[in-house]
Amino acid sequence: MKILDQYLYAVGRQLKRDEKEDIIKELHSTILDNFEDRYGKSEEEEAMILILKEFGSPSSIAKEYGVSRNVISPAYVNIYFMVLKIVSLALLGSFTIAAFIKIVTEDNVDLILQLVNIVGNSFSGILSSVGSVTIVFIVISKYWSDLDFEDEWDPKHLESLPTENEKVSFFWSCFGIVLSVVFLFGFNYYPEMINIPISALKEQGFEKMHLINMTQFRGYLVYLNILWIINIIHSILVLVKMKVTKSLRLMTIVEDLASVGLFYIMFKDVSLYIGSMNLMGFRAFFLLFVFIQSIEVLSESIKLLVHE
Amino acid sequence: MNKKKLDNILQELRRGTLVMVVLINLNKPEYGYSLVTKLQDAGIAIEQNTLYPLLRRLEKDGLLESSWDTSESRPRKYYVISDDGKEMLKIILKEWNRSNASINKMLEEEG
Repeated sequence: MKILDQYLYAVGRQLKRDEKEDIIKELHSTILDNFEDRYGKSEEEEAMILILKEFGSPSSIAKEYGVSRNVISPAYVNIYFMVLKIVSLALLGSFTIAAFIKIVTEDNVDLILQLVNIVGNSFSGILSSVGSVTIVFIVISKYWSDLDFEDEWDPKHLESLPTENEKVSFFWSCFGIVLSVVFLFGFNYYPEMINIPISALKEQGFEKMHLINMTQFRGYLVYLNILWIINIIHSILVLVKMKVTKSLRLMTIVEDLASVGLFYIMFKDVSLYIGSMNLMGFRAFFLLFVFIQSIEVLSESIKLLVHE
Repeated sequence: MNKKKLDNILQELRRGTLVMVVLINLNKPEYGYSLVTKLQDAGIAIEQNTLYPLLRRLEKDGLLESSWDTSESRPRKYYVISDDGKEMLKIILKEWNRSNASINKMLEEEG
């Protein structure tokens, strides 16, 4: 029965991951036992609504199972801790890689100093990220929560289950966060690393390749930072909702259009490059990115129309 | 009389004895709904959304054991009292009887 599936889905979102499956299975069986005892083999949705009302709202059920009410909605606590773990690991990884690149590419690097840098940078980065992520989740819980503790709770208002078109790729959402965090902290702490692969290739004989003008790049970094931060928030929202709603799809399109615009400007801006202006190097990469993002905009727009 | 307050007090009283009642009634394996009906038949009203989480908590505490029966069309989780639960029940019942006797004695003295 659809209403029962919606109810169990709403309860399940608020339970701890390791207990969720067992509790939902038991709840499903118990509710059906109740239903059959009173209404037999009926498929009457109104009758099921009465049973669900007796059981109580999804939040009150989750509360009985030990999920408490606090500044971060119980429905989002699991995702919150998961995002914290992802961000922390991504930061630790990016600072380690940045230090490794520095050790490999620069002469007379103090290894102990680099190790201290990894620990120090990771610590301060994780600390500020924990704060930022917590603020994002508090805001989401306050303004975008579907808590239902009130007495007038009505199963008819349960959120619909995600359709095929709305289903979320858990992996890609997490990957999106990791990538944005790595870029955000990597390029802000060590912007010069953008030139490392091209410098290495130039040394190998690819002399026609161009490098990035760091003074110009720092100007663009401000806009790139905004894009990465928006992307992190967007990925968190997708994970929180566990479905791509119309507004989230619209947000993707706007984000992708902004990326297309920014990377096209970077492609056209000759002052951003040092050396030959051919397509060997970052210009080709930026153009390719504009192309890929344009396809993404098209694909998301079609999905939005299908959604409509 | 404030009915809401009375309801709250009675609910607290029932909640206080709930663990004991559940342990007494799980000498034989029961699934959630069968336990609810068994208790209701015995005149003990219980909210279902209180009972099912309680069963899980008692299981976590080692006072109950559980197993899934998948032989029927609908899988059901059966609970039964564990050895630790039996030991605990003995102590709870002893305390219950002691309290009961004290209260009865108080009432006799008052009456």
